Amino acid sequence: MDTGLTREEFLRYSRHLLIPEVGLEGQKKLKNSSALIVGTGGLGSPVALYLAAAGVGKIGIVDFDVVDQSNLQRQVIHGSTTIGVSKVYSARGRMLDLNPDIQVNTYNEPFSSENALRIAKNYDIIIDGTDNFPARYLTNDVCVFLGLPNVYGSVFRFDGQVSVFYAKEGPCYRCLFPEPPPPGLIPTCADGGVLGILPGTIGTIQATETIKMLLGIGSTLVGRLLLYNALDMTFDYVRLKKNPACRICGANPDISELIDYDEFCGAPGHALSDENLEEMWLISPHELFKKLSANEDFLLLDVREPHELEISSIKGAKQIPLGQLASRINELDKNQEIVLFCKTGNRSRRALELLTSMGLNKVKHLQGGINAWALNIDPSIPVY
Amino acid sequence: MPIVKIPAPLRAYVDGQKAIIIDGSTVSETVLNLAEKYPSIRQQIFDPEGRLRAFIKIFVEKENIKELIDGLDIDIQESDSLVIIASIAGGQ
Repeated sequence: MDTGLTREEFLRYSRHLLIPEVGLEGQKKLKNSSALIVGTGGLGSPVALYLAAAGVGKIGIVDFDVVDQSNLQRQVIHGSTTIGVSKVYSARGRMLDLNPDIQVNTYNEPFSSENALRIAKNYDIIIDGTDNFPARYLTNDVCVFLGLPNVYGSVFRFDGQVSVFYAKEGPCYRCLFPEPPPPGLIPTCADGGVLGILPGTIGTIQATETIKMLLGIGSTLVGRLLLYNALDMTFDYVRLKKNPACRICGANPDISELIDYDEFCGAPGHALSDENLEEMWLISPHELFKKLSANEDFLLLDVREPHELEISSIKGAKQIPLGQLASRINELDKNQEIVLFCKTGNRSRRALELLTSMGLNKVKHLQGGINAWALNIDPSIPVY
Repeated sequence: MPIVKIPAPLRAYVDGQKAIIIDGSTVSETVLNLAEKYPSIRQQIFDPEGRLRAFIKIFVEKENIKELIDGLDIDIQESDSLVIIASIAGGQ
């Protein structure tokens, strides 16, 4: 009798075989199915581990990054011994250690308009574990064009969102969010932080939805957006519907092929770029050092959150968090020169735009933020 | 008065609050009252032309207001929850 599983696999998956909703048929389905995980970071780590453990027969992983010390607070598929190693190779090693019976395909390259369709067409389902808007719109569009489910998850601080976008059966990502925020308007995890366990929780839910979709069991998150808050430990959801005017899956779509996603989202990787900013609005750490040494009359304004001052600070700086800047504008002297800074330059760039839009024109922002200051001027303070 | 739930990325603009009780009998009235009380949140929610931004969604009792016929003008009850959702991209 051909059972489709080896003796070792019967033992390995015995807990699955005992569940009527999975059973032998379900386990064979998983063995014969395939999933592509875009990103092997915070979300991709638990997804890759659990899909490997569950016996999904062919798993693809896409990432161009290498493992860094700062990843290990949450990217649990990697380890201290793989710092400096390409993430896809680091992840493959751990996945095959967990389950040597599966096939792991690695794509050590950025997921882009040039390669995305070629890579994704070989899989049954795509899991979005990316960390920026261009990659999320690309992943969505690829799934719509190939008719594949897009298991979506995203995180920020203590909050997470999960859904399954599947244009064949419900809304796609563009139905919910037709356009991304203008660059810099919504802080990233690099600026705002993220609880290390949060992508673990959200990624595990993504893995759960992936297994359910592959098995064809249960009620999936198609048409629902799950909202999780780790601090209050609440799960809530809102209902999503297909948008008839959606530009890619609506009644009269005008997007019929992959586009330039950096252009669509306004900036490479969606971080604010200083490339198009005139020099008059910028100041380097060395220039700021000279200004401070010469005791020039100007206001040094730190727009980070109060708790970040415990990590690092520049002597003499006034502190107004970016979020309070508009309502505390009366604390600033229009005629005094202002130098803004934050952690890396994203928030201070945003503050620069805000202040100039409110009529303050003698403003500059520190390139690279206080981290660049730490690297170039004051090695006694940490980079974070 | 209805309760307005604020998404994490916008909490910095409302003194860190997760939920705020704001007066209003329609969605637009409630959101405009919110923007009046916390001016910094206005440019996050509305574009320079005063339209709701495309990456911000408002749900009343789990339903997206855009899918309700009256949209922003929909009446809300005292006990309604108004949930604002912002697009976030974090994942690494």
